[in-house]
Amino acid sequence: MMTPTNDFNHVLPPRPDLGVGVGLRSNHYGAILSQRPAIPWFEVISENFMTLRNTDPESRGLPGGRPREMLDLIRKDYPIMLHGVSLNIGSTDPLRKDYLSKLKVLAEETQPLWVSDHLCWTGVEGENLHDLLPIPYTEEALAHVVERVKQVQDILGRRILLENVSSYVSYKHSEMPEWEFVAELARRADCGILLDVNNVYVSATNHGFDPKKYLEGIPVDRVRQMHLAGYSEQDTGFLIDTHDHPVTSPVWDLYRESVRRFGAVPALIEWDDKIPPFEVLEQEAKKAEAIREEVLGTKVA
Amino acid sequence: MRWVVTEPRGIQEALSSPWTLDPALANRYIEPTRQLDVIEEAAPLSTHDRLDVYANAYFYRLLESLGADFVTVHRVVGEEKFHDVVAHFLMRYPSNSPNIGDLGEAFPGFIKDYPLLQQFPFLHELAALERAIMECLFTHHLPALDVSSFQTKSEEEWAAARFVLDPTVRLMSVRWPVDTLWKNREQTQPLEFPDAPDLTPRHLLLYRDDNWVNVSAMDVLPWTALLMLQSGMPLGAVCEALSKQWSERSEPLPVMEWFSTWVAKGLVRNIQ
Repeated sequence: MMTPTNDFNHVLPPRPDLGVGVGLRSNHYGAILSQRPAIPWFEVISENFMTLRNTDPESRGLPGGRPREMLDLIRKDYPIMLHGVSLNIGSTDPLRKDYLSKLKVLAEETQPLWVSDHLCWTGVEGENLHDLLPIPYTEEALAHVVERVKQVQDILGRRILLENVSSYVSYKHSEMPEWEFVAELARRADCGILLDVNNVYVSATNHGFDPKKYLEGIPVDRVRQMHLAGYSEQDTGFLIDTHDHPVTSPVWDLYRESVRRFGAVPALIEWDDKIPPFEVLEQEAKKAEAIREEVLGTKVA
Repeated sequence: MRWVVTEPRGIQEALSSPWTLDPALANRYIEPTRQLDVIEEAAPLSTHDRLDVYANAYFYRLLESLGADFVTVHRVVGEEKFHDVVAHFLMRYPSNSPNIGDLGEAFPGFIKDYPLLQQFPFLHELAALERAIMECLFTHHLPALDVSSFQTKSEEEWAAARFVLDPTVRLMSVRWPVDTLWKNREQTQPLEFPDAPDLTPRHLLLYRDDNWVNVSAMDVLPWTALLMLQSGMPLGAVCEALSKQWSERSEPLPVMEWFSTWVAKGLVRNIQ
């Protein structure tokens, strides 16, 4: 078991607290552009704004057609963050230079406050699973991922955030709890943490650990963003991170704990399936804002 | 773990009967089952059921993605057949791109020879059209044509002029009226399937305007002119080639009329 350390350097840039944003989904383009809702920022899935292979065979990072045009319109009025799902940082496959080239161009052109992805593997031997699979929490895996995060940050020319994933399996070979792995990774790679509060709760339930202990293991000064979403519960009590429900009561409670520990950090409402009208997301964002105000005693300007 | 999660027929098939698979795919399934011993066994679910969460998510995510990219194909073949064709497609063409939108690249070619779909002989053309629409949607525009750039051109300069078409422009030739089928894809009443191909090929123009992708059937001559211009032929050579086909008609080749329409639609982005 590794000894937690608080010896963090401070190269990771600070960022202003933007309040509670919402994940930008194509169903809502019309509502956002016509009504300009009072949402402080949007997060977008990076891959949705990259060109297809056929339309950009040399991976030059051309603007990705109609979706990109919509993004450019929306980002005139709102700050954005890029959130990827295919970095594949935990895989043993080489990092994909074609993907990183496109991501770099997208980041340079859209100027997000943060570029983030997930601490997981999404493919191996050239195949992409389009899912977020957990990695074993070993020293060997840690060294491997640290090296890859450094490479990504060098290529992109910026610090990235990595998000803890919801998981349904864990490995016998793991040598430390997930939170220690996350904390040590952030320290050694000098990257930030995107703390997904819902994922902490889902994994805690599925693997039987205390979610508050997880929060206590995450270094305060590495967390730059939080995520909130809804899960589905099976008859067995097992939880699946489906992003198709409102945020649940236990996750709101854990978010309250998170705000107490990590302070004024931008948070995001994610909703990816059975997507409701935009007003429903706004209401969820207001609930999160109310918890922030209750805990911090201040409102984001 | 990858081969278990990506078996489109389900995790049980992957774990218990890998030898029943198509021998041509054997190299995808060589990992011994005992390697699953690395997974921690813990209540309330077995290792098998825990992995099944990923296996289900893998298949249904890709099924949903292909269903969204090939809406009309999906509607034509129905839920059950679409499920089957996607399962077989994924065994042959597992995703190899970080962008899930690339997954459908090989789909039109795959279904052309797929035995269960022989009752829909128009299907591969429909799939090719839906794929082209998606590529059109994800293609960037070039800057708009500067009208002043061609107002002072001499006759000789026009003859030597090469048109740069917008990258969103796609020109397709099909035997079946799949564009009509695609346009009716959201109608509530059942779709009417064509029972025979057209006697002559249909010439389709696809391009993107400020809103969405436009699909329309064109006369063969302006379609051929656009195709030649897209390939880089100078305007004079295009007119000469087309005049031979047009010579039976009494009126002159309406190139200026075509040109005005193309400019108005934003198909022409530069004249060099």
